[in-house]
Amino acid sequence: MDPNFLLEQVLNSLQFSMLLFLLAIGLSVVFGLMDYLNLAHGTVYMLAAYLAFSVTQAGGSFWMALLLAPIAASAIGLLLYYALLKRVEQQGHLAQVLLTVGVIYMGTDLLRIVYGDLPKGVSVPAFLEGATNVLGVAYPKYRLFIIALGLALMGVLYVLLERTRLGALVRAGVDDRDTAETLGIDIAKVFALVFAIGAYLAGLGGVVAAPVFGVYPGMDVSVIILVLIVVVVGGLGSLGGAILGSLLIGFADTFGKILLPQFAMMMIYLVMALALIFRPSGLLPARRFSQAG
Amino acid sequence: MSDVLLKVEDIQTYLGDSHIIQGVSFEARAGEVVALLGRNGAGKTTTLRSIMRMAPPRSGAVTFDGRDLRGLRTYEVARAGVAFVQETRAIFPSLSVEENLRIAVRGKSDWSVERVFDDFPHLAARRRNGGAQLSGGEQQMLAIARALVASPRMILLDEPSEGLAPIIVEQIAALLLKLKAAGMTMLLVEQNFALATEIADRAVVLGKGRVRWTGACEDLKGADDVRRTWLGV
Repeated sequence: MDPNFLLEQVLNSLQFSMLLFLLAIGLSVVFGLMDYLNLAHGTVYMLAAYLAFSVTQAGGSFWMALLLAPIAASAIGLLLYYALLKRVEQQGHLAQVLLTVGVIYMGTDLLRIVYGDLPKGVSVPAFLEGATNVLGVAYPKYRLFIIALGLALMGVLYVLLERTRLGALVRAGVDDRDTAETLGIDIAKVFALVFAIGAYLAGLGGVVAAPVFGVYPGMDVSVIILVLIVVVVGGLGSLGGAILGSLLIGFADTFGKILLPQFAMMMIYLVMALALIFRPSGLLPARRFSQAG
Repeated sequence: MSDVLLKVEDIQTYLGDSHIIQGVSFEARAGEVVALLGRNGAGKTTTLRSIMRMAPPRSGAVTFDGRDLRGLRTYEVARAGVAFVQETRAIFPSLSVEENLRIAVRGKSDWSVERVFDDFPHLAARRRNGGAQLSGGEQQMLAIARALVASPRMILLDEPSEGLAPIIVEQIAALLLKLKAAGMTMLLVEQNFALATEIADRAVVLGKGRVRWTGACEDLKGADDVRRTWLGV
C-alpha cells in the first residue's frame, strides 16, 4: 500500500475514532454506573448537530455553535432523563431499550417537523478550511482539528476521572453502587452529573461531526450502533475501555471499507465477535468485584 | 442508664419472596457493643442490610438516635451516622487505598486519613496501591478505617474475622476493643463465638429470622441449650 495513502487512512481512522469516543464515553459510564442502557444517547448527538445548524443559520459562528449547542443538548438530555427515562431505571434493560428506542423515533420525527427531511450542512470556520501538509500528505485541517480535540478531551477526562474527587466517586459507583451509598454518597446525584457530562460530550460530537457527515434525520441511529459495539468491545464503565474500543472500531471501519469494501460492516462485527469470544466483558472493563453472600 | 441509640422494632424483611426477617426487635444503647449471633441463614446480614435500608423492611421500624429511618435512602442512613462494614469488605478495586478513605470522609472525625495511616502502617505503605491489591487482613483494616473516617455514631460490622489468619483476627479484636473503650457503639455480627463474647456487652441470638435469646454475653456462655440449639457451639 502506498505510504501516503496509508497515512491518510490512519488519520481518517483516528478522526472517526475520536467521534466514536465522544459518544461512547457517556454511554459507557452511564451504563457502568446505573446499569442504564440509554439508546437515546445518539438523539442528543443529533439534536446538538441540528442546534449547531440553527446557530450558524442565525449568523452565529461555528465556535458559538460549538460552545452553545452541546450545553443546550446536555440540558435537554438531563430534562428528558428526569421527565421520562428515570421511570424505568429499576425495570431492567428491556424496558430501558424499549423506552429509549421510542425516544429515538420521537426525536427524529420532531426534528423532521422542525427542519424537514433534507440534509443540512454546517460549514467549518475559515481558518480550518482547506488542507495542510502532514508528512507529505495534504490532509483537511478540520479533520486534524477533530483529532486534536478528541485527544485533548481524552486528557481532560483522564484527569477528571482519575485525579479528582468526582472521578473517585464515579469509579466507586461503577465498582459497587450499594457500597458507595453505605458511605453516605448520593449516587443518584453523581449519576445526574455524569449523565449531563455524557450528554454534553455527545452533543460536542454532534457539532463536530456536522461539517463532515452533514446533519440529517437518522444520523443518530447510524452512529449509535457503532458506539454500542465500541462499548461492548472496550468494556463497560471505563475510560480506557472507551478509548481502546473507539480506536479499534474506528480503524476496523475505515480499513474494512478500503481493504474489503464488500465486507466493510463485517470487519466491525468480526472485531466484536473476537472480543466477545476471548474477552466477554470487554478489553478494559471497570474493575467491579463480585458481591459474595 | 445511657440512652438508646439504635432501636429495631418488629421488622419484617423479604428478599424476593423469601420472608427472611420475621419480626426482629432489639436495641443498642450509646457506647454499647451488641453481638448479633446465629447460624448461617439466621438473618444476621439481612438485619444489618435492613437497618441500612439496602433491604428495606416491609414493616416495623428502625429508629436511630430518635430519628425514624423509614423512607430514607441508604446514603441518608449513612449520613445520619451509621457506618456499615460489610462481610465482603467491599473495597473499591478501581480506587487507591487513599481514595477509598478520602471518598468516605464526612464531618469532623477523630479519625482523619492521616491518623489512619499513622495507626495502620500496612495501609500507609500501600496508600497509592489499588484496592484490589490488598490482602484479606489489609482489606478488613481498610474497611473498618473507611467506616471510622466518616465520623459515625455507630458501626455495624458483618463478620470482621471471617477468613482471616488468627494473628490478624487478634489485631482486629484489639482494634474493636480500642474503639469500644473510646465509646463507639457497635453492632457486631460474628461467627467466632469467643471473639464476639470477648468484645460485646450483650448478645442477641437470631434463629430462622426471629430473636431467640437476648442477654449479657456472660449469661450466654452458661446458657448451653441456647448455644446448642441456635448457635451450634
